[in-house]
Parts: sequence; structure tokens; C-alpha cells
Amino acid sequence: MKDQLPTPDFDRSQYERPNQNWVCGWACEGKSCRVGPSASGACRATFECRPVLEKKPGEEKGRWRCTRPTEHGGPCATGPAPSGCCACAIPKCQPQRSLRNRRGQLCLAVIAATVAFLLIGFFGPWRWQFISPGPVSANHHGVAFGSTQHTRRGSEGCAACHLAGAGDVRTWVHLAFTAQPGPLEPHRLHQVTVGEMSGIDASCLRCHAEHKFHQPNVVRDHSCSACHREHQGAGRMPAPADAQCLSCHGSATEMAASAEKGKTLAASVFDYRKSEGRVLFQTPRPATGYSAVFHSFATDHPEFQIHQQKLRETNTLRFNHQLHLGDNFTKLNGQKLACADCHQPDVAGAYFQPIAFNKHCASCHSLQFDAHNPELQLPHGNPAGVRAFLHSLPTQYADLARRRGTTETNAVAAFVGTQIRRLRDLAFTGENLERQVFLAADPTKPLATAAGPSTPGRARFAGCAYCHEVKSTGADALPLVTKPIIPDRWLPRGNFHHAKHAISACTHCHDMARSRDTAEIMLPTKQTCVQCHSPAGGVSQSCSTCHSYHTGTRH
Amino acid sequence: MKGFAKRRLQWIAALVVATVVAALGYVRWAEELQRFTYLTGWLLFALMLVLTAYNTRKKLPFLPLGKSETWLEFHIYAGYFTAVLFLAHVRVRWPTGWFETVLFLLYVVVALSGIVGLILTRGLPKRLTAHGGEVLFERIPFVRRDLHEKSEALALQSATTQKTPIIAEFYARHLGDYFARHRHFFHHLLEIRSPLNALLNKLTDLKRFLNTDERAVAEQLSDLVRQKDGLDYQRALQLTLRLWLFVHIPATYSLMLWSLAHIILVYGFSGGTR
Repeated sequence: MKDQLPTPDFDRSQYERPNQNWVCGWACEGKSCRVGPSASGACRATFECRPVLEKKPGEEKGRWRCTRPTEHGGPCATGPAPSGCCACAIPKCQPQRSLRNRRGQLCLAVIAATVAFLLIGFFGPWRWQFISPGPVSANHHGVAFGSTQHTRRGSEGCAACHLAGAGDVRTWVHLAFTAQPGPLEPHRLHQVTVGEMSGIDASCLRCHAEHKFHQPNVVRDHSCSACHREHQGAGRMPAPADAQCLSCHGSATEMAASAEKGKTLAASVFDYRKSEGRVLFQTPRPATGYSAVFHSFATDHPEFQIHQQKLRETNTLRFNHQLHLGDNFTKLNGQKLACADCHQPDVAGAYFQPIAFNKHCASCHSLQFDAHNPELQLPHGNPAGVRAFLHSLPTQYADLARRRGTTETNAVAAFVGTQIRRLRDLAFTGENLERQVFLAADPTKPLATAAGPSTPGRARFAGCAYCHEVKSTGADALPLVTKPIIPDRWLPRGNFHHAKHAISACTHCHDMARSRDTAEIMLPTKQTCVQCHSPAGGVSQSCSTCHSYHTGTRH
Repeated sequence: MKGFAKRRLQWIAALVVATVVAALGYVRWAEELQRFTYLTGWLLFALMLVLTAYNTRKKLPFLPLGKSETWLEFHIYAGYFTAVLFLAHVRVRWPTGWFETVLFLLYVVVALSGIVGLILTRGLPKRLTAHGGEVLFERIPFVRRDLHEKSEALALQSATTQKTPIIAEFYARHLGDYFARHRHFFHHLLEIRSPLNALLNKLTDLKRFLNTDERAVAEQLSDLVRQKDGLDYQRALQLTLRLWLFVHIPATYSLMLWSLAHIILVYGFSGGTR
């Protein structure tokens, strides 16, 4: 063990007072005077003692005696001067502040600097930048926002939302103490209910008029600022927290009240969603509206309405996914048909381009009706056009002959005559041919008896009815071909981004291999989504992942 | 010591419980409670106010405000807890504005200086005791002067009594400045002994050229050098024990002022927002 140093000797009767503001200037040199500085820091050193005049009986002048205390050396050798003045003058010093006093001085300096800094910040020309808690989101800055009528000059746009932005520090203090609850009422903070409209929400409503951007049966308006936290950065505004949605959707009382209110409203007020150029699958509104109480997507979020109500597609197009994706079904190049051959993503990648006959079907499903002349194809998309085409068949064959290089008039006429006679041998009449074109649903079978008064027999080609719903409307009337409407948004109350889910195979969510009927809606169930969108799956399951409170503006 | 260990365990248990409760409260209410940030802010401010009052409590020892020891323990563990409240208040997010960044940094400075101060006050006294030669901080200049005078007297005596002024010259060259002021602050703080060893080695080397009497004087000088080194050690560590407060206390006052301004701004500009 290391030897300890001995404690140095010093006079223990000398009690140190470190809390005094001043110490003798000689103390730093280790030789302070016994008088010490005054409370204001002035050196009080004069002489080491104040001599006393002693007179013995009979003496007139007496004798001056040194009174220096023993602890400071006792009477000095020289003794007082004849005038009675001490001969040992104490040299003057410049008293020093004690360490504690210096710390106090530093505290005062820092306090003064802080106050000065705050005052400069609050009253200086950069006050708005100084006090700003951070840049506002992209929605609330820029030229467009700056030019709004609410922006005031000199406030960097603060006044667009904050009343305090229109004033100075006095206004801020005034507004602070008139806030509800105010700074002196912290005990009232717990009384503020979730989503309660607050003072600053009035500023939001000056631009975002009313609260008509959610379901019309909302019982009470939800605070804008509760969901949308500003000053979090210059990018997109952070997504609202689930707690804000669950303040209503997790409350049985709120949802019951909402359901009751919904019953009093006309059904038309709920049909406010903009299609934005897309075909939305129309789901009937449940009797109680969307008022189920739930607490998270993974646990008790309702099943998707399509599955819950076992909805079926109303599209009249006949399409068999199982057949098209089967092993026996190949494209012209011999490869199997894949989902992406028909379902091609749009520019954003979120959804898919609409299915179009010419783009996605025509390569296999040609509209030929004459096996000897496959180039000659019926027009698509317009029944009247089809009829006109059939009525002009001689002309069409003549054009075909010319396209093949036959230019001589007699040769063309001979070609046309041959083709028309051949068609007549098969269909007997032009009317029969037209009925075959419109009504032939299966080229391997003769037309049904109901298709017409005199059955024209087997068509040998796929007519419109092969894919479409075709209704015969009379002997000479044009058959009615129902226009297929293929929805491209199946869950219109939620958002989905296919490109973000490209990591999964299409068939993981859409079990198309067993879909034979167009009416079957092969959307994944909620449970399929929960496999990933849950705490166990590790992918976000927040409400805002799929939903937006602002579901289009209601007028 | 057993009492101290027991109390420390109690305080740590209280801190852990408070932290767990605060963490659970954050998870449960951070989003659900409309004014959660306000609540954590007020709790934080109130706690910082009590922590700041500790300095005032030290200046009022005559008032029956509880034992200073208890105040210090509360100051330490409540100080730790403010970090939990602070993180909950800022939602574990780095601030983006100037004002809030300064406020954030002030808190960090106060908290870190407090932790550094705690480490110093726990560690340095043990080192001082182990090293020995303890002396009141305010007495250090007097002891240094005493050592200076003694060493100077020895050197002068040597110059007058010996035939060669070798010790006096050595004193003037190497020891005069050493005794005249405090030396090697950071070396002592970091327990680096090389300056003392170098000086003693020089004295040892010098002894080869000294006669018996002069060696006796050199031995006495060596003792004085060791005492001076011990005194410098005491001063370095005791001064450090006082200097960290030069950061902690002023920064605390600045933080409190900044917090007051923050409250005014938040209430003035929120108009009731969260």
C-alpha cells in the first residue's frame, strides 16, 4: 500500500470562511492579513495593531504599548512610534473574490446572458426563425401557401395558423394566459378529451372549411391538430396515430351514436367518393354503417366487406381464371399465361391498367368468323358496327382481295362471289350469320333454340356471347351486348400499393387457380394481410397504412 | 456504510419503479392522452424546479427542510428520472427549431455535468484520502507558502554554509518556480507521477556531486518536494470537485429561464393544440 503523506501543519484556530465573498489579496500568496477585506471587497489593512497609551502614576507623557495579539506574533520588537502610531504597517492588497463568489458571479452572468439572448431572440428581426419549433410540412409552406390571404407579412407565415404570430411578446404572454387550459391550470390538462377541437383548429378551418371529409355520420368533429402534428420537418406530414382513429372507432359509445346518426341520413349522402378515373367496386353500405368497434387491425378489425357479406362481382364478362392459368393453356409463343400478361401496373405502380380487348385479349381471341379468310375480323366494341360490317361483307371481301393483291375487277368479283356462296352454304342466310356472330357462345355446339326462330346450326367460330352477355331483343332488332365493367378498385375505402407488395407472388394473395367464375372476387381475406401486417409479421398495421381520414371532399 | 448501501438500494428501486411506470405510461398514453406532452412537460419542469431548489437548500441550513443528505440523494435519483421524463416529453426525437435545440442542449449540458459531478464526488474523495496529506482547500496557499519558505531557507542556508553553491543553483534552476506556484494540475488529475519522479531523479543525480552535509540538505529538499507534490495533488482534485459546479449550476439557471420561455411560447402559440 502506498504511504500516505502526512497532513500539513497549520493553525487550527484560524477558521476559514469559504462562503465569504472576498478574501485577502495576500491569501493567494499564503500570507493574508488578519484584518481581511470589507464586505464590499475593499482592503481594510492599516497597521498591525492600535497602540495603547499607558501612563504610570505621576507620568505626564506615558508610554505607547504594542497591542498585536499573540496569535499574530505578539508585541513587535520595534514597538509603536513616539507619536503613538504602529510602526508595522500592513501592505495594502487587492482583495480577491472567493471561489464561491466567483461561481455566483458566473451564475449571474449566465442568467443575464440568457435573458439578453432571449430578449434579442424575441424582439430581434429573426424572432420567427428563432422561436419556430421546426419547419412546417410540405403542405404548409411554399409559394402557394405563402400567398394565402391568412399569411401576414413579417411573421414568416406563422400568423396563418397562430394568433400569436400576429403580435409580439406581449401578445404571446397574453394568449398564453388566456389559453384553455392556461399555464397556471396544469391540473385541468387531464380534462381535455381526445380529439377535442382546440383553439388552433379554428385556424385550420379557415382554409379547410368544415369537417366534411369523413363519413357523414361522424358524431363530433375531430381536432385537426390532434392528428396532424406540424413543425416535424419539411417533408410530408407525419401520419396520424392510431389512437386518434381509435378514440372513436375503439369506443362503443361513439360508434353506437354514429350508427344511430347514420340511420337518420339519406343513403345518397354516403355516396361521395370520387372515382378519380377508376372504376370502384360498389359495395352496399351495411345497415349500421361502418361502426364496428375494434382496436387494431390484427385483432378485431372487421373482415373486408367483400368477404363479410360474400359479395360477388356483377361484371357480365365471362372469364375463367383457372382455365387461362392452367397448364394446358399456352400463349402463341408456347409459354404459360402469367398474371402480368393481362394485369400490367399503372405508372405509379399502385394499381393496374384497365383490361382492354385489343391489348390483352385480341392476340388469342381474334374476331374472325370465316376460317378461310382469317384476316377478315369483326369490329369490337359496337354491335351496330358489327351489323354494318356484316351488311357490307361483299365490300369487305372485295377489300380483302385487293389487300391480297388482286386488282382485276372480274377476279375480285369472282372472289367475293365465291366467299359469299360459301358463307351462305354454312349459314343459309345473312340473318343467320348475324345471329351466329352475336349469339354463338360455344363454337362446338349449335345455337340454342331460344336463340332464334330457325336455328342456324353450329357457328364454327366464337361469337360475341362467348365472352359477353348478349340479349336477343327481337327478330330484326339489334342484340343487346352488355358492356362489361371491370372494377379496378375493389376496396375503395382503403389504399393499396401493388408495387410495394411485389415481394409476394400474386397467387399468395389472389388464389386465381381455382376461380372459374367471373363473379368470384378473389381478394385476400383480412387474415392473409395480417400474416404480415401485424406485430408478429413485423409490418405496420397502423390505420393510416391503408386508410385516410380525409376520404375525398363531401359537398 | 450499511445504512448508505440500504438507502442507495431503496433509491434505485424507487427510480426503477418510477421509470417503469413512466415507460408504461408513455406506451399507454403518449398517443391517447390529448395533452400527454403538456403533462410530461409540467412534471419535468416541476421536478427540475425542486432539483434547482437544492442549491438554495444548501444556503439555508438553519431551516427545518430535512437532512441535506436526503436532499442530495433525491437530487441524484430525481435527476436521473428527469432524463426519462425528458425523453418522453420530446418523444425521443431530436428537436428541429433553434429555440428547442438550445433548450435540448441546455438540458443535456445540465444532465451530463451532473453525472460527471456525481462521478467526481464519488471518486475523488477516495483518491484524496488514499493519497494522504489532506488539507483544507482554503489553507492550501498558506501551506504552499510555508513549504516555499522552508525550501528557500534551506537553499540559502546551503549557499552560505557550504563551499559550493551547487544546491542553491539547483534550487534556482529547478525548484524555485516549482515551490512558487501550484503545478501539474492535469497530471495530478490523471494520476500521472512523471513530473515528481523527474524532479526527484534530478535531485538523486545531484547527490553524486554533494558532500555529506549537502546530501542532508538535498534529502530535506526531496521531502519538501514530495510534500509540495502532495499539496498540488490535493489542490488539483479539490479544485476539480468545485469546478464542475461552475458548469452545472449556471447551466441549470439558464435551463430554467429557457424552460419558462418555452412554456410561454407553447401556450401562446398552441392556442390549445397538443
